[in-house]
Amino acid sequence: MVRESEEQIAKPRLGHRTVAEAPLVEGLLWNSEWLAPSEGPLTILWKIALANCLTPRELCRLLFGRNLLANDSNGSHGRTLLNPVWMMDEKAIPTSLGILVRQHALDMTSPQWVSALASDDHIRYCKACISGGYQSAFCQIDGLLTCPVHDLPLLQNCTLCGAPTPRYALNSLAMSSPYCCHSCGAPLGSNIWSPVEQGLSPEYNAVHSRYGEIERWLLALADLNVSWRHLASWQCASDAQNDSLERRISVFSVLRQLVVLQLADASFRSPRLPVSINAHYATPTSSKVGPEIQESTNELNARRTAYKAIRRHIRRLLKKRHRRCFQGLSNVLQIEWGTQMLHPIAPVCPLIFAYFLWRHHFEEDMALDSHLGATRSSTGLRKESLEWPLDWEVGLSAWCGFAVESFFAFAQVAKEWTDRVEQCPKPYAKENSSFLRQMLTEFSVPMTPRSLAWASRVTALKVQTARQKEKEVAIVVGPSGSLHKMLAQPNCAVDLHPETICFRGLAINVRLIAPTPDQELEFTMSDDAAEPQVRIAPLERLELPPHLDGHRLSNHGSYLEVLNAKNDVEAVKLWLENYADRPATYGDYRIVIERLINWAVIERGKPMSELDETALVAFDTFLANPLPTARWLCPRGTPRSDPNWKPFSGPMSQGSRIHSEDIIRLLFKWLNSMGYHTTYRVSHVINESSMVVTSSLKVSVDRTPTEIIRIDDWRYVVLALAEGECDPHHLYARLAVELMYYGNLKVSEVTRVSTSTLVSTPYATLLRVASRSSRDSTIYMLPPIVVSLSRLGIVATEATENPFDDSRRSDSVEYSERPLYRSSSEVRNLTKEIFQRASKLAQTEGDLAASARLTSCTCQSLRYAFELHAHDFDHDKWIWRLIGSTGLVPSTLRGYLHPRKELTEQEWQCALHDLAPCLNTPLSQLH
Amino acid sequence: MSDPKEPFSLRSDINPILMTECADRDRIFQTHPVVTDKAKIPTPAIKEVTDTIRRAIVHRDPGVAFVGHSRFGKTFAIDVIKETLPQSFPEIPIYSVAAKEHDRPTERSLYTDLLMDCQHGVSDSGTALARRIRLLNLWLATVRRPGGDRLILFVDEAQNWGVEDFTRLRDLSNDMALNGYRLITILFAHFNLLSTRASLLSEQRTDLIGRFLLHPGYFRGASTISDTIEIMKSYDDPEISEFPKGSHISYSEFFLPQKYRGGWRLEQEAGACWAAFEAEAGNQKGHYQVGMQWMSSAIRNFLYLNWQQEHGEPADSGNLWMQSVSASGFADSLSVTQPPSGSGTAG
Repeated sequence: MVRESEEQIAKPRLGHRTVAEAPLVEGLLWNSEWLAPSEGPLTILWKIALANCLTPRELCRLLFGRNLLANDSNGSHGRTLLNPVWMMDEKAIPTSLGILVRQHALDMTSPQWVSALASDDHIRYCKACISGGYQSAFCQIDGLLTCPVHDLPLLQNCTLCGAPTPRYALNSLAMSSPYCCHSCGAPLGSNIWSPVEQGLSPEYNAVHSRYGEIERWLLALADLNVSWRHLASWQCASDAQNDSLERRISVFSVLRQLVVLQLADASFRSPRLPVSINAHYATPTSSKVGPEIQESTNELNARRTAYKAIRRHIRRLLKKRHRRCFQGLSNVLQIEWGTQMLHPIAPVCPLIFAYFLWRHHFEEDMALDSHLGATRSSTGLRKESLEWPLDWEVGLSAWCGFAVESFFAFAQVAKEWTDRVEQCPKPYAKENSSFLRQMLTEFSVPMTPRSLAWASRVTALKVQTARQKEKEVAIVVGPSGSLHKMLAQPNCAVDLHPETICFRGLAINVRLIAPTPDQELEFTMSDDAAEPQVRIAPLERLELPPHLDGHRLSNHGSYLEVLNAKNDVEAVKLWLENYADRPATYGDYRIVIERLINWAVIERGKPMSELDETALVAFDTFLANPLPTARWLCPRGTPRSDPNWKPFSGPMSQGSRIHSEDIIRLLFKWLNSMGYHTTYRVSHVINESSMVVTSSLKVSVDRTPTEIIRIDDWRYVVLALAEGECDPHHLYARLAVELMYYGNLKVSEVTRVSTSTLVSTPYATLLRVASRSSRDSTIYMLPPIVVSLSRLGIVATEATENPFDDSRRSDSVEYSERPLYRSSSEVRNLTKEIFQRASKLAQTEGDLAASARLTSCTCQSLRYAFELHAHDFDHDKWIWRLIGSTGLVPSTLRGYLHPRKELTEQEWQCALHDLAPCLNTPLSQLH
Repeated sequence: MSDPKEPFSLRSDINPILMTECADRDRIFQTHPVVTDKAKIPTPAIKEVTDTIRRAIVHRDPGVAFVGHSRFGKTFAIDVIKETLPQSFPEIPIYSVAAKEHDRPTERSLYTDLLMDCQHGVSDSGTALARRIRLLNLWLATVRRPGGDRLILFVDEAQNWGVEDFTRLRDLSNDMALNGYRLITILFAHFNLLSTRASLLSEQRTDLIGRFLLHPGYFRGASTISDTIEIMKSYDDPEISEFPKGSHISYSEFFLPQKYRGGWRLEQEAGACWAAFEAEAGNQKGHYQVGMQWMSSAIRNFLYLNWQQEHGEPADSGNLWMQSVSASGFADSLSVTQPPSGSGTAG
């Protein structure tokens, strides 16, 4: 019956003549439904090859009338798909399909940036995309780490055999086995595309339109009218092998700061050497007439003056921490007469080396002057540096940015030199050693101004916005770093981790405004950071846009997630509900997290849950000095309902910052336990080499006052204390150091220690510190101190009463009231001797940085050190009860500490057990 | 204004093409399908074949075959059916290929022929496997459309294919079936195909016979006067035979416009025409059919003679149809293109 009815339907319908036609385009099978949005030429070619069963030679011949190229050459491939101008040149015979392929190449979207951002070295693909037969040309952008559609990494190797993918070109290797590894033949994805498959569904196309974000971004860049003349010579890696790749990644990073790319930060690859950008209004080009020449002279004079100011500033900062490094400079650095190459001839502080390298490139006839006062050398600047960037004009502000960035660049060079030198034993022992010759060859370019007048790691670009055509913006790009932080380090180490350059008075921050609905972009220049779009508000009033509230993270809603929270704020509120019954704790925790969320979205431009470890360290730095004040500070007592409410009333003390870190760690730990995705994961990792237990949020030495001795340096002090145990003088020195370290005593308190202040209980020895309040006047003598006391023959009085009962203290003052030390200066001198011994030990072991640090240590360096080190080991819970130290407890919270009570024997043993790693004493000896 | 319902011949406005003095008329004459022997007329035989094919498509039969004498219009029949089938089955794609005879028929030569006839641009390169995949991809990509589950393949001169060729076609058909599509092959061939069928039967290749040659139909020529009337009606009907396109002028009206306006129709000449064919065949023994080659040639001659008369040539005193049939070469074809007693049964 069905057939009969179909037969009736099948009667000819006059006037409706549809001839079924084959999907052939100029004789080749092609279906327009196979094409997905933003699809690149590679998979289009693969589809044509598969559908028509064509060899690479036939494909090239039929589509473009060209032959394959037999040999690959360095640089761009002759049949590249990245910028395939060869498809349409005078020798080509393009077909309709050839034109289609050409139109989907990356250079059609962005001819200006295609070579600067992407390469054809290897095919880069997303495993999920390639399974659907798709590869976007945007995958070739090296700065892109993951596929924006699937958040999977972009690969350039076969996942089965590990063979690198062929070049992104129409060559024999890439086209002989479409969608498969050319080496092992395995599919690159989970399956191979087939022409038999149905056309792409609207849903599929909608998903892949996420690559359109990158396309829109590139088009917005084109509107920006960027001129980057010296881009090709910008050095972004120390080794030439990776320089091109790193440059592409760095360029992508810089351009993303010019125009916001609306993708998650995790999608981008960070440059190995972080870069920072400074934007300045460029001066209009002047014509060569009289008054302008005068102006030009004034400009150069202004640059000379500015350079002197910068040099003076850097020198003063160096004086603070590297005074000793200047000594004997002529024995450390040398300028070769012929090549003008400045290079070390002995171990050198990298910062000092960088300083003189920098000066050598800017100043003519620079003398290696170890004088730390105002330099007497002339400030005759080299013409090339003075007139930088030569082929276009920038203002004084931009030039100053260039000068500062140059210093960072030379600091990188100096650090790379010293790092390389450290790998070689006695590198300077033989003047003409092959190692040294090789080093000088490798570093010949950055070490002499003859090769290149200025640091190749600094570059500049000119930007003209569509809106403000009359205003050009000069952007100076160079290594990222913090000048103050770098120069303040006493350990002669150069730290170039991502931080914005905070060279006040010279650099001008660039404000990047997210694209408005009509995609208009604009720059605004301001000495202060510009006001962000998100308004600072307390948690209950905080309104965040979707891309900043954390809801976009891909694995929210996974099966692991048990938290019913759509975004970060909701998750935090749920967490705070755990403390609803404790109002003080609730309020305390809330303000800390409010600060974190506001800071994350405003200063970092990302949701709280996407903050990583580096960001949290930066947050800690921010807590110490929340700037700009107008944005972050408000008078104390401002109600939360006030629109002008701000999360800070001033900078935070170290203790408060540590407390904040604990709260943040608590929050993240809870979020992780509830399955809520965060980029930062709370973890404790044991560093086996140093046996230091670190947490990601540990109180790093970089952030603690420099006076406190590092835990690594303390190891040398312990070794120094262990020497000369039979010498009473040494034993007294040892006791003084241990009292200050393990007992947290001040120098004045140490001088008052006598046998009468020591009280012995059945299982512990106690010390009464008369100058302290009754609450913390009694401290437990930890085993290292007791050992030293016993070596000195000092015996504690027997405790007949509760030692914590202050009313009875006069009863125990009988034995001897003579202090162990005559004066404070004696204690200081003894301590200094120990530090000097420790310094020598460090030097013997080759740890020059630790040796330098120990040389500058004082008694003050031991204050709170034990508490801090115990905190690193997460065993600081005993500190208050044992020695009454509260250095890391915020002053506002000290009142809430439990009253100290005498420890039971079991508690005492437990405390010793917990603190064993910090006591540098085997556990067996503690009891 | 003329009444659209009024017969064209009675309308007051005459198409300028039909005016004797019209300069364009001579030019159009040179390209007229009747003159160039490209007139596609749905003969009764084509209508019978079309009905058989339509049934096969509806019932998703794997294939049908038709045999007929040479010059009976099989190739024209394929063209006509290809144009009319989409009106009934718009979602079914149609390919038409001509089987070629090769000294050494190979897999590569078969696929090359098929690819070439399917208009693929890369028909003569690559291995046999590559060509096969290319062909299969083309067919699959063509048939893949909403509602499409069948692909029709017309094969002209199918007698040129041997057992190997049919076997390869079977494999292609199976591959199509694996992908969920039915390949319907429609073979048009000379009677030699029946000998191929006989050899397949003797080899018990039922897989091929059942698929392609189960019930070979007969593609016949005009055998009665009523067939001639049907053919000539098509020459009169502008719905079927219109030239130039859009002019609403039938073939017969183009050549004899004045007579046509006066009510004359070619259909009226069917009796004289058939009598002329009978007279021509009367000298021969056996039962004969008139292939479209000679029928259309005779009609062309008749119309051309009338055209000459209209253009001032002296009227021939003899029988025009006898002259036309004689000039068509029908008599010479007897005993050459069809055996003296050759006839079949229409499928």
